[in-house]
Amino acid sequence: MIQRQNMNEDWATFVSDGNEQSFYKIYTHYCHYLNFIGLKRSFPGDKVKDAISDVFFYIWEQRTKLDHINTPHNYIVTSFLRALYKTNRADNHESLDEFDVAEFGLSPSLEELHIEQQKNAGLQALLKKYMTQLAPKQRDLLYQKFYLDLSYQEIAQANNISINTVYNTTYKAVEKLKRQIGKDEILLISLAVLLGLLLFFSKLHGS
Amino acid sequence: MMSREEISKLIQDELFLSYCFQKDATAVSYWEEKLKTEPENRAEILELKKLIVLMAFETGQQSLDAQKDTLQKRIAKSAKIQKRSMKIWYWSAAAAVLLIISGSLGYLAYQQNVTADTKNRLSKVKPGGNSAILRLANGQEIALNKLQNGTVLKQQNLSITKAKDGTILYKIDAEQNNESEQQEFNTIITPNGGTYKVNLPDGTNIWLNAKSELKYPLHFGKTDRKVELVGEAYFEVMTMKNKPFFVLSRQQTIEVLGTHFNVNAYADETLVKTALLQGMVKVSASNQPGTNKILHPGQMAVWNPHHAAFSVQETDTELAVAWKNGLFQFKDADLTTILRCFSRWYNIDIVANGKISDRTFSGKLYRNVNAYQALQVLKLLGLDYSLEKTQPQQPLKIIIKP
Repeated sequence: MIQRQNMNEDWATFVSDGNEQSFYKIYTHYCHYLNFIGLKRSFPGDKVKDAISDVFFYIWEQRTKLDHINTPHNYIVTSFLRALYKTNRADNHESLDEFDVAEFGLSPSLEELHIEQQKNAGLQALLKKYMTQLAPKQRDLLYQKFYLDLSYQEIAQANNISINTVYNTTYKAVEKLKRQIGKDEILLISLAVLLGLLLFFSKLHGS
Repeated sequence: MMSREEISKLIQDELFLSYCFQKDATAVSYWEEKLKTEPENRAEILELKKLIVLMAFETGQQSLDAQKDTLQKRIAKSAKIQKRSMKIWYWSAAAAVLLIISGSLGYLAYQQNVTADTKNRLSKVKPGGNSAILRLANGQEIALNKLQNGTVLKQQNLSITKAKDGTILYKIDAEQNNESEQQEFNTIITPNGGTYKVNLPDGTNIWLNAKSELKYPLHFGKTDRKVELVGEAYFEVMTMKNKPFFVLSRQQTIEVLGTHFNVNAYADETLVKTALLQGMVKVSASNQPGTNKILHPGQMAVWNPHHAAFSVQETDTELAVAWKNGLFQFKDADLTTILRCFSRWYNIDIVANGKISDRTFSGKLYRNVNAYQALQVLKLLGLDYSLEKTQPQQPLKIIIKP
């Protein structure tokens, strides 16, 4: 995740000449965060995604007219919340006032993620493959649970399902992944060997 | 020894997840201790931990990629449509030009009343633009459009900046205790043909249309934020808990419960119209706060100050804010309404000689055309007009003949 400071710089580049790269940097910076605060407020995952898409679509369309925005962070978060509450307006306008959004203590320690990911490139590739085979609903729940670190209770509320369904679905998804990866363990070992060899050769080459 | 199922069920244990992501020192030491004292399941549990961490990374990545992909497709699709509609626009513009040309030819053939001189002089009447006067608390008046961009004025503990795009920004430099100080006000006044955008210290954005006045305190009170409006303005109010925003205009009070709306409260129009685009507002008669109406997006409150009566109707909000987007846009508007709009924007006096048509008119026109081009509309309605002789410094005056 990029720092707020850098984000402001990206924003400045984006509004001055509609730079696409800066735009997607800002998008990447906010996508998880907005998913997090939307779901935290018990909005269904699909609505949250739609609202994020609406906000950034609008920002992109208005790119040349946004240079009056002084605090892009507030602008983005506010627009997002407005987009969310607009979808079912009357019933909930009170909570629109709650601007004191909890800072996104992006759950998984990023360093931890990074190290594990580097150590396990082979396993990572397998996961990538098998995860695309899960049902989208299952994948969403895994995302909400493990990446966004929402509680099982919060996930149940946002998706309007029982907490047991959340438990079972995530459990089954993880089991399925484990099974498939288990089958591929031999492949995995050979991958690890290959990787080791590669590293070995690159080291040789380097020295 | 834990069963395979028990191990898998660890994903439902928040303490275990905290350990996986090293989020919480207690969780980490608890699990490290447990793996030491009960080494039977160590390998499997560590394997699960690795899987969870990688899965977190992967779900994050895949979810981001999928959402980004959707957005990119949406943007690409809209770019295509825009290209197409540009083409359509181009052709309809060409058709309109043809129409106007053939119309003018026909018109000239019939009557030569709009003389070359009238046309020439009206063509020189440029449309309005950014222009306003800022009246400070001490009564000093500043012509904002003559101010250099980037200029900063100091007032009490506020700085007022004219930004790159001309917007006036209020910023509180230092939090002070202002309770003892008496209320001081600033007023922004747009002339005929002027619009202006101001950004108040609470972050609220207000666009003023031509010939309008907005009065606001330098420091909002502790319990509310009140501004007074004559004329027309579009508001994007910064929501603040426990500090509602009020707009007072022509005996109408608007209490803002959230966000975007347009108020049309010109003294020379019969009705005050409040159109809501986003959020929620409550309108009431200023002297009878009990009788209020709540507006939802897409609705408009029509207030008749002479009869002290309200009605709420569904409306096309695009119409209400067309001015802000650089358009005159009318739907079933009578001629007097249209002419008053032109009069305010071009700073010309328009007088009707006798009763003019009660036909209504719908259509769009860019606000950046000159007065002559705008007045072509009159021709579409079959009306003739002429320029009155006026003093050089006075606004031009047009007489409409029935």
